[in-house]
Amino acid sequence: MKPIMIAAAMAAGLLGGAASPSLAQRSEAGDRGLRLENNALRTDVRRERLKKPSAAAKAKRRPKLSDRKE
Amino acid sequence: MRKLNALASAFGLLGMQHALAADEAAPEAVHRPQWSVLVSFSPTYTNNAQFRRDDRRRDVYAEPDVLLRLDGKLTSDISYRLYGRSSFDTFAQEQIGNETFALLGARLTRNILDWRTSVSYEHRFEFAGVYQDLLFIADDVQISTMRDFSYGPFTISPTAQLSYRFADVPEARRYRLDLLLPFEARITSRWSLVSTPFVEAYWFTDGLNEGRQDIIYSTSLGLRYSIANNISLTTSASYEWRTSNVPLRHYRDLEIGPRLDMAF
Repeated sequence: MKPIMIAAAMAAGLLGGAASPSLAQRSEAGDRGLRLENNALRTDVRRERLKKPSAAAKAKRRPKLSDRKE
Repeated sequence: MRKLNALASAFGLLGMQHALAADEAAPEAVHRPQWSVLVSFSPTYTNNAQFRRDDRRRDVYAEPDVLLRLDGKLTSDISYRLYGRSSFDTFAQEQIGNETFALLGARLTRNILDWRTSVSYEHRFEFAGVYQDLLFIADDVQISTMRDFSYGPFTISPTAQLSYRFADVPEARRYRLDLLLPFEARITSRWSLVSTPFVEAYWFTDGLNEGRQDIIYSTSLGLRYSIANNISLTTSASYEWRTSNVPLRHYRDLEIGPRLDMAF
């Protein structure tokens, strides 16, 4: 077996989790949080156009005492 | 104030001196920082819970996402944002895929030729499970730019961002480039058709992942209902696939689900 093939087999083993758990976990670090990060990206786009209800708008919605009298 | 000016000068904070000068000269022009909270929640179906090339497993997961932020202005054209954010995935069956992040971040934004351009820094904690085992701590440095183009009821918002992740685990260190083309077509005052296609490239730089290069392609289509100015419900389907120079890292994933977004 050529050295390069051995190295490739070792790398495949490590990346596939066939080696010790700590090594497998280390190589997985590149993938951890990927779904969360991509969903966060999509969420940022969706939330871009949301507007916090302003204090002014809140005040507007609240009926004034004088309005009630009328 | 002089002390603050000296401090700003010492740390080279962008525009800080101008802001402080403006503060001295015209206090009425100073913008008041504003707190806001953004909350999202989404139950989602996935046909590849573990992002595996082989042994794909279907599942449903819940993903709450909470962001607390403080927005303000340093000068008339530079705004800042300080924020904390946390989110987690919790699967019904494939609980080994549960994970969490919590981060603190800061961002400076300025309009350059009508493109909103930002530099940001995030200090991130990545956990396995729901806040269970700390996997790594990362520091992300990012530059991004985006702009809205509107044509009648249509809006597209091309976005580009480049980041580098420093991390205590070498395998997590990498460059990342995102190119997004979010699209929205307003149907009525409350209903919109939305899509967020994007391409991401990753270049891992250290440890066992040194030399690894991934590209993720993603496309989505959804319908958004605006319940109020600060609440919307988006039901969408997204399809994502990854290619890599490490063939084991290839995957395809289809996800469908409603997402509720709120701002307060």
